[in-house]
Amino acid sequence: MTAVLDTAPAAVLAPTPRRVMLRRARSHVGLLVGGAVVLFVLLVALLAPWIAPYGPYQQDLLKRLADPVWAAGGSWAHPLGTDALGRDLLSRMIWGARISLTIAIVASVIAATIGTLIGLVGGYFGGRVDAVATWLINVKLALPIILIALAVIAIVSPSVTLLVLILGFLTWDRYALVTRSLTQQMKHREFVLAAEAAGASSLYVMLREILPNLRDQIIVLVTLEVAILILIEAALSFLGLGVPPPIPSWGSIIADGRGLMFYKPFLMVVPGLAIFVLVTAINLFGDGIRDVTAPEGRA
Amino acid sequence: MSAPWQGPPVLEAEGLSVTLDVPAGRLHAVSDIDLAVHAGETLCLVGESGCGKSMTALALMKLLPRRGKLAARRLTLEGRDLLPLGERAMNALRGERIGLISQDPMTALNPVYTIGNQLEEIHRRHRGGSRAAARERAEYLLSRVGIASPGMRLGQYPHQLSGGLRQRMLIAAALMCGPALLIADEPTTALDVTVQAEILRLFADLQREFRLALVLITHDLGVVARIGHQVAVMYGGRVVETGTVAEVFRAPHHPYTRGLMDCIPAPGARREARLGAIPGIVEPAIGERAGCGFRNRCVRAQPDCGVGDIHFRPLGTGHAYRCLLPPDAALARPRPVAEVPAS
Repeated sequence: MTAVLDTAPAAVLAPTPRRVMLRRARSHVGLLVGGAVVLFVLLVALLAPWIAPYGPYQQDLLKRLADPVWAAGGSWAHPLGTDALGRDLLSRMIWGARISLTIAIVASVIAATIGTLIGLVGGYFGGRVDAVATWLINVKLALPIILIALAVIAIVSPSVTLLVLILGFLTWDRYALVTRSLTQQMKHREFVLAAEAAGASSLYVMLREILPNLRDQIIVLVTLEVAILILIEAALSFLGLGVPPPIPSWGSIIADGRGLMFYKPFLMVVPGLAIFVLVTAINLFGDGIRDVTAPEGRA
Repeated sequence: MSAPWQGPPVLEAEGLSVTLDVPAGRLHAVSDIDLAVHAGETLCLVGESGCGKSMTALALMKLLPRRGKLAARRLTLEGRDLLPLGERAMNALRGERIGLISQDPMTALNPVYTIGNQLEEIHRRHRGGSRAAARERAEYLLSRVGIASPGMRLGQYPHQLSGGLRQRMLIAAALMCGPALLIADEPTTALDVTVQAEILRLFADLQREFRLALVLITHDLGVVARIGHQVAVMYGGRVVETGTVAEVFRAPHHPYTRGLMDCIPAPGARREARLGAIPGIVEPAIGERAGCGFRNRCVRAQPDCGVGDIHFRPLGTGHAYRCLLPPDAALARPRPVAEVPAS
């Protein structure tokens, strides 16, 4: 009945966002380098039981404080040397990557979930609901993370689970702030009204219409927060209030090497460098994702 | 000329008012308007920006912003009273019995989902059933709204489509569950002129086929003349003139309607003839108001215009206008603004 006027050939249609993103990703140096390092550390952490030459707790008191391979007395038997208890540093670093990354990632996921939900609900409903959400965010912002973590861990005996929970529940503020303001902008877009007019419930609009549009920004935030959490975990472990010994995390390995700082500096330099490189890589990677998914490039 | 619309109206609203509490006071966005639309009939709401057209559309679906308050003596859809219904019951009707086509096709589709996904979701929400059944309905409707290769289009994202195509998608989305009432808020404003004509023709076709009651909101009298049956001219939240399109266009009585008509460029008019304009701006409708809202811009205002409520003057055949001027006086004088020829 109606004249068919839609005759655009498929070839001239705009490329899909995915293809645009891939094309941009391929020429983004920061994303590639950061991503490669992150991927490498992730693989090392995942494969720890198979690639670590020794167990993380395996002591060899006859080979205490062996020098790393690049020093005068070093050998390939312990490429990064051994610590004061004769434990292989390379193996502890490999297992430590596992602990450090697990804590940072799981805590970020907890924080992202809490923060995103608070931000979505506050931003979407507005009014009194938003006042409560804003109040929660302000309360959270007023809490000093390290101080609270120290206080809690001083009372309850430290464990990895406890650390994950504390960090997760103390770092959701940024997600809430970002999600809330983005939701406020998003809810005035016509597609939200269109969904409401098509009978969608508030829950549906929040989770299925608005949230998917915030995905890229939340992913970028997660990467940045993982980097921060790795540093916080290292700081807490260094203070002796993070993972309990003898569990290796990169922070606790630095703490272990502290006493021998002037005689065997590699015991601190190696894990310190590893943290520095990983955090830098994660930040490069996160910035890369932000650049690649930036909406202004989308047709 | 008025078509004999049989049966009870699909939508009936009486004394519909919308107020919004804003920092400056109480804003009367819509004041006491009456509407009725039958199956197969098009009611056009016409007026300039801020006259309450869009707010009326939202009020009919009970989708007002949170600060907005709805009041009405009567609001029924297919004989069912909407006033006492809660959010859940309204959600069951929205998209199912009432479809809304919103203003801007460029942003009314969610950018992260494919067209097919969005259309199917509406069908599954109200009708349940399999994805395949929903997809079949979507494909049928897309071909029905004039889209070639609907199968391919369903797999695409909104940004891959032109404005005209997106508007067709939105129309298809609104029709997914076969609603009785379609509310279209400025459906052609954001489109190219050539595409506008196609979309209007499409509306007329679909209305005939599906026996839709259509509430069309526009500021374009050309659109009204093309596809409207009934028209309600709104000014400052009130209906100032209402009647069949033929009657109102033949003999506009309210000074505001006459002013609007003078703003239409007539093909073949002398080049020197000045196009009409209505002086002044719309008064903000905050606080209690008395008299005619148009009096400050009206060339024929009298002292009495600011006193009390101005009531409708019926002219028979459903045509009525809200003005103190008696019918012959309203028509007699030369049109108020467009008489000045340039140089």
